Parts: sequence; structure tokens; C-alpha cells
Amino acid sequence: MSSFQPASHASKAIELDGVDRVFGQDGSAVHALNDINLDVDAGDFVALVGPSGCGKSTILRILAGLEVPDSGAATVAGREVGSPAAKVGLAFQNPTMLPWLTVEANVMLPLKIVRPYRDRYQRERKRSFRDRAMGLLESVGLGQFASKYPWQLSGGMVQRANLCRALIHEPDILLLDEPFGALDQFTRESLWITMQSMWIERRPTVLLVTHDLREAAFLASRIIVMTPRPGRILEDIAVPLQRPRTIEGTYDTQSVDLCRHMRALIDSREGAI
Amino acid sequence: MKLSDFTMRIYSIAIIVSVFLFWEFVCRAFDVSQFILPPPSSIIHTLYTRFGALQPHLVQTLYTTVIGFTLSVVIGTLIGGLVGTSRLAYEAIYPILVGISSIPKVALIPIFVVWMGAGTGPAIATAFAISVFPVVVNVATGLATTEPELEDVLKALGASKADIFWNVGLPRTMPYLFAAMKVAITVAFIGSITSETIAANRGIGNAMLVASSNFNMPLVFAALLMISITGVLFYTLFSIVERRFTRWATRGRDPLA
Ligand SMILES: Nc1ncnc2c1ncn2[C@@H]1O[C@H](COP(=O)(O)OP(=O)(O)OP(=O)(O)O)[C@@H](O)[C@H]1O
Ligand SMILES: [Mg+2]
Repeated sequence: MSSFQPASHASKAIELDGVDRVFGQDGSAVHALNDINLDVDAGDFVALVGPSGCGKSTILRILAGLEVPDSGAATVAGREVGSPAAKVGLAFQNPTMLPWLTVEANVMLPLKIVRPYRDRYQRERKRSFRDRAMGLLESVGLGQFASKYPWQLSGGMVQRANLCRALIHEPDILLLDEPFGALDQFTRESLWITMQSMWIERRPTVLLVTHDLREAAFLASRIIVMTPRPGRILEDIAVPLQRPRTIEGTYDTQSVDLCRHMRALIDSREGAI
Repeated sequence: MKLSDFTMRIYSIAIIVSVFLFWEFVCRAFDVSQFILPPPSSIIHTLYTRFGALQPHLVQTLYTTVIGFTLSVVIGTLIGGLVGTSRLAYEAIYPILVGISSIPKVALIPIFVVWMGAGTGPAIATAFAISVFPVVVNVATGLATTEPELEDVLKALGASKADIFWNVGLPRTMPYLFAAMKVAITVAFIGSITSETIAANRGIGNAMLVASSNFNMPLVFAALLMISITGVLFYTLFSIVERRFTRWATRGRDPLA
């Protein structure tokens, strides 16, 4: 974390304080978020689960400064969002690559924009920056596709490249919106492993949105369960599982029970509507 | 059925050639006078023998066309950039532009002559006036229709407005700019020639005017042929450049195939 933050925020990477967001007006208004209070410690791995439309993406977009809350405060790395962003890496739910850039150039985009990398971009884009992009692309199995254009890739491949773009500037805070959603189970699970090693090694703060309860149980230290319309936090679960976790381990009783518990929570609310 | 590139080319050449053959046939069969409609053979022959005399005129026309066109691209991109990014500029400038573009450019030539004297000046000004509008409209459209999702990618990184313009707005607008350039170069050429037929003593337009006042119809048609060929060359050149730089916009597919 950078040195100029107020001490009181030193251990909190993300703070949402009574955040409300309503889309549209009057009759057709959608209450996307209602009184969301969420603190995430620096270096924590938090998963956000909940049924479709409960406002998960909206939370990430608010934290990334793309959406403004109607009321309440959102703080990232001790700074009000909307001001020049803290070093945040965002993987969009619908991965958007710039179609005129190669996959590699797309992945390097944050280095072109974010300080301090941008000052060295012209010098390093064919050297260390490129090596870094290649390293990431290889880690998600896209090494051979670096010089292709995004529209020459499959949906799952674009999503993996999208994840690389979120990681390349080594952000302290990662906002990942269903980054493995379009992948088959095997690729997905191998990326969980990659993700876990990266997190153990660098310890960024991660807020991961997912529909996959096993994924949440495998990756997160803490799981937030949400309910829809209005989007609310239903439960905040500390994951008791040891690290490093294994794919095998997700079929152990403790992990399965955790998933079952989350299912029941979400089910009960779905039924109530 | 999908024709191969080669067969396609053969067919299109065959069609073009047969049009000229038909023209030749009509002229000969009905013994059409050279003063009404010279046959292609006579036009090509004149173009060949009088090329030396026509060439300096062509150079003059190309010169004014290219300068007028370049001004259009530079100034048109700037205005289009303003109109496409600022709501106020859009509201204020667009009506003025539409108003100006509705004026037949021929009507402006006498004014240009008063301002700049006959010759090169009005030709450049006319080429510019006629070709700037497509550039402005296309650049403005390209910028205004940029997908917010693409901009979000940059905004999430804390990019400035300038960053967004250089990395998203401008590249996104390239296909629009190139499409405009194809049109602009052709109409700039027409603008130059029109101005030369009204107020100049050099240029293809002037050469045509002189030839027709001498009733030298084969020479008039030779000049017309020269204009058409140059127009096609311009268009082809810009199509090639366009395809090179905007392959992403058609996702690698050739739009003409
Ligand atoms: N720009 C917008 N305009 C209007 N309504 C919106 C907008 N963005 C989101 N919403 C509404 O807000 C609610 C929450 O949307 P959000 O995208 O945050 O859901 P989500 O939890 O990410 O869902 P999913 O799991 O399907 O991605 C939805 O009901 C959606 O219709
Ligand atoms: Mg979502």
C-alpha cells in the first residue's frame, strides 16, 4: 500500500458505507443496491456470491469509479472513488478488448496508462513489458495467441486475456467479475490454482464475483452472500479451510458443507420473493 | 456460388471491355459524327498523341486537388473531433455546417475568385469546400458512436480524457475517417476541375473548356477519360490504405468479397 494514506485506513483496502444505487425512475426504478456495508482488509480474498441481478457487478463498477452511488460512501485504498483511481485491476464481466489491438497490446494497455509504468512504456513495450505480458498469457495458456486479434479468439480465450489485463500492472486491489464464467471446468480449475498461487505469493486484495459456489469456497477467505431486489448483504462467511487448497479438497466434507450452506441461504431468499 | 478472385476479375474486365466495344460498334455502325460522340478508339488515340499537352494540366489539377483534400482531412478531423465530443459544439456547429454544405459549391467559385484571383486559389478553395463536409460528418459520427464499454476499460484505469481520445476515440474513428477520405478525394478532384472550367487558364478543367470551344470533341473526351482514370486510381489507392489500416473493423473479412 502506498505511504500517503491516512493511518486509519491503513488496513482497509475497500470500504463501502451505506451504499445505495437505484437505476431508472419512479415506476420502472430498479433498486440495485440497498444499504451495502462492506469492509475488506488489505490482502484479503473476498468472494461475492448471489443470484443474477443482485447488484454484484454494480458494486465492482462503483469501486472502479465507473458508477456513482446515489448515497453512501465508497473508498478504495483510503481514497474516495472517482478521484484518480488507486492502483486497481478490473476484469469486466463482459470482457471488452480493443479490437484494433493485438491480444498482447490489449494486455499491456494498463502499462500504457497507469503510473509509473506509462513513463517507461515507449521504451519497454518491446522488452520487459512485453515479457511480462507473455508470461501472463502463457500462465493462462494463451502464449501462442499473443499476436492474434481479440476477434480471432474464442469467448473463453478472451476472458482469460481479460484476466491477464487486470493483473499486468500488479495492482494492490483486484476486482474480478466472474473471470472464469465462460470457461470449461478443467480450464477453470487450473486457473483457480494459478490464481491461488498468485495470491499467496503477492497477497493483493481481491474482490471476486462468482456464481460458482465451489469456486468461492476454493479461492476466498471470506464469502459475502447477497440477495436481489434490493441488493443486500445476507451473510458474511469466514471460510475455515486451510491453504494452499487443492481441487480434490473441494469435494471434502467441510467444503461441500460450506457450499450446501450457501445454496440453502440463496434458495431460501429466492423462495421468499 | 462464390466466384474465385481470379474469375471475378476476368468477368469484370470482360464486362468493362464489352461496354467500350459496344460504344465503338454503335459509333461505327451508325456512322456517328466525331463532334457528337467520338468512338473509344479515337479517344484513346487522342489521349495517347496529346498526352504531352494534357499532362501539365493534369499536374496542376492534381496539385490543387491534393492540397484542398489535405486541408479537408486536417481541418475536417479537427472540427469533427470537436463536434463528436462536445455536446455544445454539436448543437452550435452542426446547423452551420449543414447550412454551408447545402450551398452548391459552384456558387462559391466567383466569391473565391474575388478573394484570391483566378487560378490555383479558387481551385484549392473549391476542392476544400466540397470535400470537408464528409470528413467532418464521419469523424463526428465515429467519435459519437464509440461504445461506452470501450471507454470504461480506460476509465477504470484512471485514464484522462486525452488518454481516452488517443487510445479509444481516435482508433475507433479510423474506419470512418478512411471511408470519408475515399469520398473526399473524389469530390475534391471534381471541385478543382469545376473551378478550373470557370476561372483558370491551367488545369484539366480549363483544357476541356478550351478544347470544346474549338469543337475538338475527341480531345474533350480524352480529358474526360483522363479524369475518370485518375479518379479510379485515387479511389483504389485510398481503398488499399483503408483496408490495410482498418482490418480490425471488418474482422479480417474483405468487405468487397
Ligand atoms: N446501467 C444500468 N441501467 C439500468 N439498470 C441497471 C444498470 N446496471 C445494472 N442495472 C440493474 O441493476 C441490477 C443489478 O445489476 P448487476 O449487473 O449489478 O447484477 P449482477 O449481480 O452482476 O448480476 P449477474 O450475476 O447476472 O451479472 C439489475 O437488476 C440490473 O437490471
Ligand atoms: Mg454481473
